Amino acid sequence: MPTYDCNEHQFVENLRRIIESKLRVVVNRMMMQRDDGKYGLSQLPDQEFKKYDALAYRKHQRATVYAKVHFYDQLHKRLYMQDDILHSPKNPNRYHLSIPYINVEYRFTFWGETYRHEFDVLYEPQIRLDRKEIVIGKSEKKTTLIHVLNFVPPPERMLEIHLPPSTIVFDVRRLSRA
Amino acid sequence: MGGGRKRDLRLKSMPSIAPLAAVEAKLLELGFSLISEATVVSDTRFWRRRLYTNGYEVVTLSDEIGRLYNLKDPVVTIYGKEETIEALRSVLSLWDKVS
Repeated sequence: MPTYDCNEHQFVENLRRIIESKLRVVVNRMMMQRDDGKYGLSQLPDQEFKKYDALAYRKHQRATVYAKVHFYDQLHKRLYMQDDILHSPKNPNRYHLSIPYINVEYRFTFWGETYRHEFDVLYEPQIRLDRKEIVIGKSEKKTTLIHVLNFVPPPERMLEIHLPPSTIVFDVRRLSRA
Repeated sequence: MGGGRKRDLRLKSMPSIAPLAAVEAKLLELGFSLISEATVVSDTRFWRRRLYTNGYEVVTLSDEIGRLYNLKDPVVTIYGKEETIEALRSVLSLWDKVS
């Protein structure tokens, strides 16, 4: 059975044609929260990178990104010092700062052929100044005022393609073939 | 008007070359309001997606803000000598290193 990848426009229009022919269709939706290093700061377009301006700098998109100040990454429980490499597209490293995201996939099957649309919704950064206890050297601890980066999940409504009630949407976890 | 009745609603997706501001202005004129925004990656592109609602009606506007990969059109297609292929390959890989 072939599976066709569609962009949002193609997917919605294909679905609309089925709905308008008075047929009912079941759409499966898979949502998966991921933080696998797929997205890093160097890949972000300038408009999106601006959100990290207080913490990071780079020459241009796809260039290595460095820490502008010391900061604490609350989600990954990691402390970055000034001028640490935060992301390098050429030398990916598991200590680099990764942006979590939710992978959303919509698919429906019609006459044995499957049509699929997939997209990732990025978490939004939230930067604040906070007092944190940091470890210096082997055992010395110091409380200091430091930038703290947190990631906020996108609103649930942004994960949906809004479809008419004649479309039945099933949330599924995984696709397996018998 | 107020978003219409649920059973009157239709589904439609439209690609556009119109400026986003023009579409947004029309939505506001029709009584829609911006509910939320998110950054979405789809089709190897970054999009800023905005969600507008008016009663039961929902409209999303996706504005492309950049590409995920550095691959862009035109893809180079060659029917030529090995030297030509190598020469063009070296230019393309050099450009990749610069960017």
